[in-house]
This record gives sequence, structure tokens and C-alpha cells, in this order.
Amino acid sequence: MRGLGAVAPGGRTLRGKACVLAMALLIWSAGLAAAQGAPPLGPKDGAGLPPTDLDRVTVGSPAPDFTLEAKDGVVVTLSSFVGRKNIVLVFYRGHW
Amino acid sequence: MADKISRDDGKAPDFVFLSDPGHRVIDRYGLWNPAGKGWPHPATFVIDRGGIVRWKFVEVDYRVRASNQQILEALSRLR
Repeated sequence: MRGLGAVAPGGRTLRGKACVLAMALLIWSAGLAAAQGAPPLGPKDGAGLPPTDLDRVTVGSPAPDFTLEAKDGVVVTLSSFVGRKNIVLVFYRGHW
Repeated sequence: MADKISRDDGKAPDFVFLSDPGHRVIDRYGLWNPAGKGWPHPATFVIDRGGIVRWKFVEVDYRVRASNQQILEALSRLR
């Protein structure tokens, strides 16, 4: 994770112009159930689209919105940062 | 898991780890690796304050990643 860690200090130097929030998306192997009573997790639209389409999200288009859970049950929605922060969104290959 | 991650200076990471059980966000972004081990193709997106993708790096060879410099340069172009 050294590479990801190195982004954060650089992000801080940009804070005057652009706040950075880096998120890593991972697959968790079996069994992480959605919390009871939490807002629905996952993407906000696009159900039924094929899962592999590397050209689906393009520069200049809106990033598909989603809500996912971080550790300790904190829930994060991508669109909550609109008007507030720039985002670095990293999809990391790996699982724990 | 995030507790296991530390930067070179030994401090905890100051970014957020999200979990995507069922790979639904991975699928929405079209990143599902059909080799079927439950992984996405590695990808990095820089998204501006309007929610618009301003820079994208996707590479099916997992050994080829966006460099920190590339990401920071993309960010530096945003307000």
C-alpha cells in the first residue's frame, strides 16, 4: 500500500486548491452483510448493466453515484462531496 | 484491515477504505474482472467538485498502475 499512502501527503499540499479524499474499493470475500436499517448500499442506478465495460465511465461524464460502508459502520455517499471536495477514487485489486 | 495499512512514516492512512460486497459498485463502473476471482480491474478516477470524472486510469494488467505523480498532476488541474 506504499503507493496509495504516498498520495495522501501529496494531497495535503494541494489542500489550498483542492481537497483530496482517496477511497479504495475492495472486494470483501464472502459474508460482509449490509447493516440492518442502514441506507441501501451500492450504486444508485445502472442495475442490469454488464459488469465489464472499461469504457463505461469516461472523462467528462458524471461519476456514477454510490453509497458504501467504510469500517466501523461509517457510510459514505460519493455525491455527498459535490460542492465540497475533489475525489481520488481508487479501485484496488485485492481482498482481505 | 485498514489498521494493517501504514504509510512509510508509520502513521495511519488518512484516506477512506470502502467495501463493496457483491461487487455492485465495481460492476456499475464496468470494472469487473471476468477472470472471476472477485476482483476489479485496477482503476483510478479523479473526480471534481461537480462530480465529473476529470481523469481516468484503467489497466487490465494489474502490475501497471497510475503513478502518484500522474494522479497529483490530474488533481492540480482542478480548482
